[in-house]
Amino acid sequence: MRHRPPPPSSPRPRDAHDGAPVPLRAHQQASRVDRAFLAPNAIGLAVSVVLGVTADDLLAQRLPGTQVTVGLLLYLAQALVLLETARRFDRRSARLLDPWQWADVPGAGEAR
Amino acid sequence: MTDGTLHAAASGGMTHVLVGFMLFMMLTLFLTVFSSLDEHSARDFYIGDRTLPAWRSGLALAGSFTSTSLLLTVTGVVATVGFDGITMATSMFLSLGLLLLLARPIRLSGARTLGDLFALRASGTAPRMAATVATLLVTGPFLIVQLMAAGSVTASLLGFTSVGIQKVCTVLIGCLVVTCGVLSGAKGLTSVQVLATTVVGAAMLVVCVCTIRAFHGDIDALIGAAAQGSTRPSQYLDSGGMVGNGSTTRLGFAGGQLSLILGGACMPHVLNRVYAMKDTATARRSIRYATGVVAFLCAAVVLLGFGAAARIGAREIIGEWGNGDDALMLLARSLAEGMENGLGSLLFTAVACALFLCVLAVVGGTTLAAAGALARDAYQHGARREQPSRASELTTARVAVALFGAVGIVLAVIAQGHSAGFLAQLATTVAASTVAPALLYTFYWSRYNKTGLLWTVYGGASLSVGLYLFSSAVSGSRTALVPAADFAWFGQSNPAAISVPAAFLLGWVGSVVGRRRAGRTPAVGEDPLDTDMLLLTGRLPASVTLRRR
Repeated sequence: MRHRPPPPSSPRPRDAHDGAPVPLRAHQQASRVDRAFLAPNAIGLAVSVVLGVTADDLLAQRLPGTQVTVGLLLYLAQALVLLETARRFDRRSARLLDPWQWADVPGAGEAR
Repeated sequence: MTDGTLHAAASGGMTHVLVGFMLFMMLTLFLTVFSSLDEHSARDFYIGDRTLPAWRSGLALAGSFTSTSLLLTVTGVVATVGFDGITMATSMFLSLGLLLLLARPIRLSGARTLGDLFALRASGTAPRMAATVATLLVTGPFLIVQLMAAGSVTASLLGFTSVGIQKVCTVLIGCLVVTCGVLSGAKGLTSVQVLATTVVGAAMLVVCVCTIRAFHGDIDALIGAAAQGSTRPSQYLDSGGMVGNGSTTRLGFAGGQLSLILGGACMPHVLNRVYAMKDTATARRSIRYATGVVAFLCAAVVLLGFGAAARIGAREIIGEWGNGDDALMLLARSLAEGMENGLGSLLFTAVACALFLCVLAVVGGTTLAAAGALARDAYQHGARREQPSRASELTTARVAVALFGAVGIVLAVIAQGHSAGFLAQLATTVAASTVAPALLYTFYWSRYNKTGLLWTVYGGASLSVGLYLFSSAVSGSRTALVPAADFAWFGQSNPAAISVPAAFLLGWVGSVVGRRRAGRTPAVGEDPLDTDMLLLTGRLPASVTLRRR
């Protein structure tokens, strides 16, 4: 998805030292977006690793009539989950977090 | 590369292959130099002008990420033991997911080197020196392995099999690549990386199609034949082929996968690509595109691993050296022999060119990342402590590339002929034990401070390198770096299961200790709120900007 400039109603962050309700909100939004991406992938990976380390028989079970195993399918599913969550992460970041980058921050200077 | 591959490659009429390879190499080098004629500052030299569109940036990132470890090692592991190789490919692919998560804060920080990132929550020269140490410990071993692979591939194309010729080829190719790095910088490197991804992707696609055609499009038959050709026919798609099924060794294997995920995303030359992206939206999109490309390459190497086991057999692939890194070249050779009208030579040339480009892209990236650490973090901020002129900064950067490259070539020549393949694993493990925890804490824990950072970096580096020195990869086995000696007491093949959690723990303990030492008032430049603001919005509060001016 192409990046769009923020809508006129996008929040205007204030200096972080001014009691900072706005950066706090941005913080919360950032953690929510990050968690929504991290959680499914971490859980998927943890399941794969735990099954790989402990339950060989389950991973080696073949699908009926084929040479393809549960382990192979599991990894394919992991790849699909990553690609799909990455797409969603990009969209949500563009909507919720990019406006912070583009907003005119009063009194704020340039980054290094 | 073992003698098996080299004999296989050297046999038969290789003139066409050699001429095609040389022509391709020269064209690539010209492209590199011409792409960077308008570089006039050190910033351009390190990261380019930050104007690349997302698709180009994504292809360059994929080119930087795809090393010979993915193409050769993973194909070999799938060919010889099956399922554990598939796990490795998946872990490498998943590491781009972590990079996607890190992309926004990295890009918003405006960093150009790892030292700039480490300095976000810690002031002074110590974090920059720590970044230099971490960068060199990661890029050094990685550069050596890539140069060794380049020397072996070129020697095989020339039709020679002796270690002496491989050393000569390593020197020649190494000098060529480093000269290219000195002259070109980031813009030229970007062109090479985009070209590398395109050629590697196309070559892998063609070899995959040929492999599937050889089995009349029947994937089941391919997997069945691969199982028969592997080292464990009845358990080919069971886990445990690489290290066995003991609880300690499986834990070691899980640690190895953790190091691939954390370390793969945090290799300095991969992070360099993120610094060079236009903005956060472009960074995310680029990483998504790169993820798609790497997913395809991972699927391709798994398929080619099946193909190599089915057509050649694991015993011949392993040969006398005990690793399967030759699987891809042997498969390409085997498929080429069955073709007519020069198509076979073309296929083999395409694979050789793809490997050469892959090496060129990664070597260029590692030398540039190391040069950034040496010139900007160690020399400019550490030793000299003053703002240099544009011209002198650029000269320092070029000298640093030349120095690091020259040392890398010498070490690669010394290591050529020895079992040094573990160096790629070492580099990934060090990155996972130093850079990954430091970056994750920096971006996601506002109480992280200088003491925590230094404990993480030096503790993680000492543990990972120290435990590797006493593992069977260095001594005590036939395939070790020093097979005659035996001082290996560390049982696992990869220490990441210990060093990665320890580095995270050290970072936390160090931060707590550092906070107690410093009291409640943060030092100038270490206010966590400033850094949080920067990582969320890409801007610093006005008060900080004024103070820094």
